[in-house]
Amino acid sequence: MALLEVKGVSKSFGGLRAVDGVSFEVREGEIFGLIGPNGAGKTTCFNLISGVLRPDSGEIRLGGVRIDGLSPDRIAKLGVGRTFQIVRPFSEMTVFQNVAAGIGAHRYGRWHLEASFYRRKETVEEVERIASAVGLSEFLGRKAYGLPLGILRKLEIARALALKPRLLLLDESFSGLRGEEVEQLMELVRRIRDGGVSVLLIEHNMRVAMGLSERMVVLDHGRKIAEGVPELVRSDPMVIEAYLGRGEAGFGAGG
Amino acid sequence: MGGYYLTVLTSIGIQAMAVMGLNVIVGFAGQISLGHAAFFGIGAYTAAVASTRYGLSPLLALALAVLVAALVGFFLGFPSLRVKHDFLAITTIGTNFIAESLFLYLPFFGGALGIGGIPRFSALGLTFGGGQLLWLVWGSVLAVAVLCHLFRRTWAGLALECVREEEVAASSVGVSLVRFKLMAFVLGSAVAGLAGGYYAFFMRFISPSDFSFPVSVMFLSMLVVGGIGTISGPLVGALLLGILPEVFRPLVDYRMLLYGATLLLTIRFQPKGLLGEGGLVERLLSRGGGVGSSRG
Repeated sequence: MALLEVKGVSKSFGGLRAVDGVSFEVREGEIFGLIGPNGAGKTTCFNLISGVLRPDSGEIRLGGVRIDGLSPDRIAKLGVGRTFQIVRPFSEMTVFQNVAAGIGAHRYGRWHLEASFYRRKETVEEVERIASAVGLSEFLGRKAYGLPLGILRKLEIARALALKPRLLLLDESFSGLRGEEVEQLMELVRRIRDGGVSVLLIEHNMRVAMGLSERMVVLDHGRKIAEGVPELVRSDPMVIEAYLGRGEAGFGAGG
Repeated sequence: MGGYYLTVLTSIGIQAMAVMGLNVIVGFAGQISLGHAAFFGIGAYTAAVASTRYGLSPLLALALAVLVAALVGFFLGFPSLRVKHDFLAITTIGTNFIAESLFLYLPFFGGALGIGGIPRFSALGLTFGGGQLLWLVWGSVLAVAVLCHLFRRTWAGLALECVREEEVAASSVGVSLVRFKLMAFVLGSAVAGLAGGYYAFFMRFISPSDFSFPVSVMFLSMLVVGGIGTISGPLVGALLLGILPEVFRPLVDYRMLLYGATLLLTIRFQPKGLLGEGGLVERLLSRGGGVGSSRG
């Protein structure tokens, strides 16, 4: 069953059609890749799904409910967690507070709940549980400011998981990580999926994108040029052309 | 205690309270405000008008001051949803000038002559003269400080910090920027309104220049010197910047210069304020045997 449905979504900035009539569906419990060269419109797609931007046309549904045009905080509460290509931690707050902030998602906006203290036993346990799953336990007391990029990427994933999402959007969460960190994070993403969360990921690292995604969509200049399982996408001449330019097909097929 | 000390200490208490309100807006929620004196003034004028012209009891007038300041804070909080940083600073300066000119030009507010004949504060059959008012004000300062401390530990307090740190990330975890920015302005303005109400009953005569832009600058200076975002920073800042000019009374004409110099020195040597992280107080405490401070 489709959890996320993106139907004919377009977004222009001035004369530039950043996303042009893109459609795809992410099913319950799958890892879905969104790939494409620089400037293909991937992050714009994420911003449309998470409500940072409003589409010019088309519709986006989560579990059958239209979410396009809703504010980012509403969409987050409906179960869409996300990370950012350029990390956006709450720098002057501790890692504990960063993750707790995500747990608060279902309390903000309700007077009786938001007026209660957050450092309660159940919150602490929940944060510790998420932190140990993501591998952040030893950093809980540290301020986010100055932590290495790999830790901040995990922090963003933990913060997004804390709001108990149905869909997790990962925007290049693997970039800037060392080889062993990449392996750990791939394992983590699979565990998240096994826990029942659908994952939509933008990824530049082809090995990661091909290795993780069960299905994928390829964007180029805002348009969808290919869709399907990684093995098929990898050998699609349009995809090869988008990445490597026109020339001897087959050269980049190994990927 | 002599009348002079009473006056200085009460006045510092009132200022510390106003600065605590500013701290909610600037320190907790990260929204710059250079127009805080406007809300201080709205509280003072509400209390003054209600108790002189409409004959409300001082306690009711004080409550009304808090309510009206909170309400105006709600509406004047809206610009913060549109503009940030320097532009928000300029917008809030604008609100200060508008408020001051309304006090000055509307006959309802007594014009340049201000409002006099404000009664002494009284509640529950007690009348608060100078000495009693001092205790009441400082009791309220303590209560506001405790409330701020508790508020910071709530989910709403955590949400404000998220807004301060990273707006886009905050909204990605379900924090409504509209709700929490307005909440900060409402709470901060309400506290300023309370301080303003006390100011009216303390001075018993108020005029528009008591709430002019330099007063906003003074509040912000006190906050910066004491430590933005800390609980007792407003208190320390108000004490320091309140007492210094009294000590150096012969230099009264250079008061603003003194504020300016203190502010510059703070920004250069104590960027997070005296009570802030890595500030003088923390360093002294950690040198004295590592008590009270875990950070290096």
